[in-house]
Amino acid sequence: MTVDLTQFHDAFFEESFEALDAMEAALLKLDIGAPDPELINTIFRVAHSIKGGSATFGFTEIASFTHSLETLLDELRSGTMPVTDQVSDTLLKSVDVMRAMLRAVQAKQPIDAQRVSDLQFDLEVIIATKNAAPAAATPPAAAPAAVPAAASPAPPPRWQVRFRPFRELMARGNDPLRMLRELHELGEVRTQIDAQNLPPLADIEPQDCHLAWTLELPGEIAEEAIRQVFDWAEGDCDLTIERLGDVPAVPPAHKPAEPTVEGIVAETLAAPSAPPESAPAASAPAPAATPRSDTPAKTESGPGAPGDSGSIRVSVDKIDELMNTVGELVITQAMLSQLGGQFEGPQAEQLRAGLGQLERNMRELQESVMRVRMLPISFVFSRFPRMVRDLAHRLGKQIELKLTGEQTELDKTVLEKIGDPLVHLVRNCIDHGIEPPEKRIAAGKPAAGTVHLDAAHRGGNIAVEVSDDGGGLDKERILAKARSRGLIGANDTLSDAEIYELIFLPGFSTAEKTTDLSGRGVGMDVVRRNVKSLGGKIEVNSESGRGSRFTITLPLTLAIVDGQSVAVGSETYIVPLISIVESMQLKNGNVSRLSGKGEVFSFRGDYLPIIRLHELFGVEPRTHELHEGLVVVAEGDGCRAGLFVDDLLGQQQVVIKSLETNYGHIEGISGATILGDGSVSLILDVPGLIRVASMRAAA
Amino acid sequence: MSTNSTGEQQHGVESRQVLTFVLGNETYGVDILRVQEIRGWTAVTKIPHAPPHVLGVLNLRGSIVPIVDLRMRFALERAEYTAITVIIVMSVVTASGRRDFGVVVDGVSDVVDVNAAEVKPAPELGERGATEYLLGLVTVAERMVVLLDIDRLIGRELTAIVSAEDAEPLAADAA
Amino acid sequence: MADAGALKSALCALLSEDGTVTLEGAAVERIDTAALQLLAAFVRDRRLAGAALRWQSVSPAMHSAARTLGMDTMLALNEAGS
Repeated sequence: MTVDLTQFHDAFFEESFEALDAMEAALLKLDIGAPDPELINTIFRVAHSIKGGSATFGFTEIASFTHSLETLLDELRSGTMPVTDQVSDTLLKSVDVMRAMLRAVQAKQPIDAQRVSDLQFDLEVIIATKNAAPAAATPPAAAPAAVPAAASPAPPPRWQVRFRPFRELMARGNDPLRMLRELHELGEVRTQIDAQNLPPLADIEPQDCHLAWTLELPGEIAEEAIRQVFDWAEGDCDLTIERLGDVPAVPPAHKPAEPTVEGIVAETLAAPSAPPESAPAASAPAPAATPRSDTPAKTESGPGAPGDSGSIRVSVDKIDELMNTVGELVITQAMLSQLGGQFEGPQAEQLRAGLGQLERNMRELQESVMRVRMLPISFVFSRFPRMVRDLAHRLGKQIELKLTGEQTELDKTVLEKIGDPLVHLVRNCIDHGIEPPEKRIAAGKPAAGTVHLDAAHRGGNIAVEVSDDGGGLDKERILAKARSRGLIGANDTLSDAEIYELIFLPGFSTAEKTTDLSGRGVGMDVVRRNVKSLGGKIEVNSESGRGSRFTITLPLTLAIVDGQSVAVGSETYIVPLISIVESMQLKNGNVSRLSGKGEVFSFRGDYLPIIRLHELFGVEPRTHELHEGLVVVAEGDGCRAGLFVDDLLGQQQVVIKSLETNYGHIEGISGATILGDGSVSLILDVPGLIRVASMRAAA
Repeated sequence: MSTNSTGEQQHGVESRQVLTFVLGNETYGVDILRVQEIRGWTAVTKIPHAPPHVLGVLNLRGSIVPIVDLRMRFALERAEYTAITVIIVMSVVTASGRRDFGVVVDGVSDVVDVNAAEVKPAPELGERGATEYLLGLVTVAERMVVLLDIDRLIGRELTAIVSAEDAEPLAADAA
Repeated sequence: MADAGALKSALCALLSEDGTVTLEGAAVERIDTAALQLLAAFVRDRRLAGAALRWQSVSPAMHSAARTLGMDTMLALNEAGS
């Protein structure tokens, strides 16, 4: 039978990318000098599974690279090699290289072979130098003379693995042959089969497994590696792994200064022909440390294994389809409810009760489906530790990154799009916000600056904050720059908030930044535009000498919006609640007409323009008299305006439909929704409306 | 379904089915493969800043579909929308992909087989651009049918309406 | 794996065969535990019945699989020329 392996490629890539994220996160958490074994295991597992997968699919370059990586990791895991800064850096680079390789293979592009082989060389050097040193001290068993005296009488430690498959193991797709082959790859295996329970041929159900094995493996192999072989058989067999003939751990009489890897590498590279440094014998009996034989572990997987047994992978398309169908159902249900209200008669009450039940169920269904699309923001936050570390390195700044609220969930689509704006903000904080250590100390602050990323649910929205304890926004510089760019007049006086708003103006921050780290000359205006395109808003607060805080408020989902329905003539529009400040009725007296600015009304000490929706949209309204209708005070892009409407109808959650699928973008409209009666209602884009209206007023 | 000549059916490759509809005194035809659905008139939701012949949008099984009045598009005398006014929902292929839209017509007449060999090019009417959305003319059951190229007639306009104002992608290198 | 059922029937038919049963293992390119388990049972049952059995030849693939599983002895593979 030939199986088309390509059908599994996507899953492999997806899983590998996720695994690499996990590996990166683990690497960043790894303490130099005192690494947490669990973390190293996690890292090892990633390399191992990518190696296995890429070998299966014939991605030989990846398999070869991961093999070297795995070898190095194995050394770290067994504790024979210390985790140094250099090792950790090389491993981080390996993550990048593996990502690049996977991406290249996925895109069917050639792999950057030079980059790969350079790094693989580095890996090999680290491994080789390590092996060279203790090899002189730990000679093979054939030359026991050099073995430290304490260890020599006892046989070398071995693993004893008892593998007793349950009868249905093979029927579940596991072949003991495959597992034992993998074991053979780890080292020399002594195999003892137990066929006692093998029934007479005639009674054998071919798919049942009646055999059992006792296997012995060399003690140098990491327990985890053995356990991994049986990962797939978990729950389908009895498995015990025991350590035999262990030498009681002999603490070295004196802890010799272990040569650092940097040192060794430097030496090796400088004088490759020099005989390997012979390390003191005491450092040799390596893996004897912390044998795990006291835990005759059952078949449970390591605690570090992500508990994904209870989850399945579903393509986003399918979920979107489901969302759509549910959206349809909601509309149909609303239609039925409306219809049901008109019935009279003995059964009308029952009908309405049933419809009420349907409505509740619908809402639950809708929420459940929405939740499927929700992911914790940690998916985005997780890229920051690495980025902050690298940036701080490059800039010579000390930065502590604080992440809170990582478990806050939001829609996958929003999640995907919020990453870039956040990266930009964090870079800004590090680049412009946090001062160099000397300056911080001079200001009486700790040398290390703090960048804080926080996420939290607020009402129906999610608020993501990026704050730092740096110098804060420099008002004078912003003003000077805005003046020189002609964004404000030379004599304009602005409030603090207005000054901070300036940084979001297009054209504020272009030229100066192209050279520095804050990206490729992208300004805050693009950040705001991106946030806006998600239906959110961004605000900034700053205190001189104390730092600044950017707050992004986003809808939890792009699929649904909390809206206020408003009536203009025969049309119904939806105003997103997030944009509404308040609604009010105007009195005749508080409206005035300013030349060039049209109608304005006073609101909390400000004069806000009035946007007559009926004029903007070309609809015949019920009334042209301002005091007969209502004004919805709405805000967008830091600007406020009053939207003049006939009436407020009601608040409801509406499912957002794109107008651009079949038509196109309409200035001032962000989309459409379908109302309970099946008719279409347009959703207003308040910032867009204000822009359009101000352009009209100016024209 | 009626056919005007049984002999034509053998030329399967060259003949195709066309949905014909009436608009004023003329009969027009569109490729049946483009037709999604035929439905009665219902009130539309107006959309701002639209050209006059784009009446508004309708909910078509969950997607929002623009509705075009062909009478207005062809500068014919405007007719009242009544219960028998018909909307033909079609799809056009544009540079930015498939789009669905509805056209308001006076009535749907028939589905006919049209042999490619019988299609005559549309005569130059002198007016510039007036014929570019015509595929040609064909006589079916002694009636002249004007075959429309809806990709040109509607597709281009819909594409032109789209003012692409998408958010610029942020440059963020994966450092 | 799907062939294991067929193999079992074939072996069962041979079980009571008089004289020496000769097994031909040269063409085996891939083999799994299920098949080896059946063969092991067959070899054992033949021996218990005192009936003769001989391997004509054994492919390297089969040899290695049997060795990996620690079954080479009970399959009497080592007595065969490979």
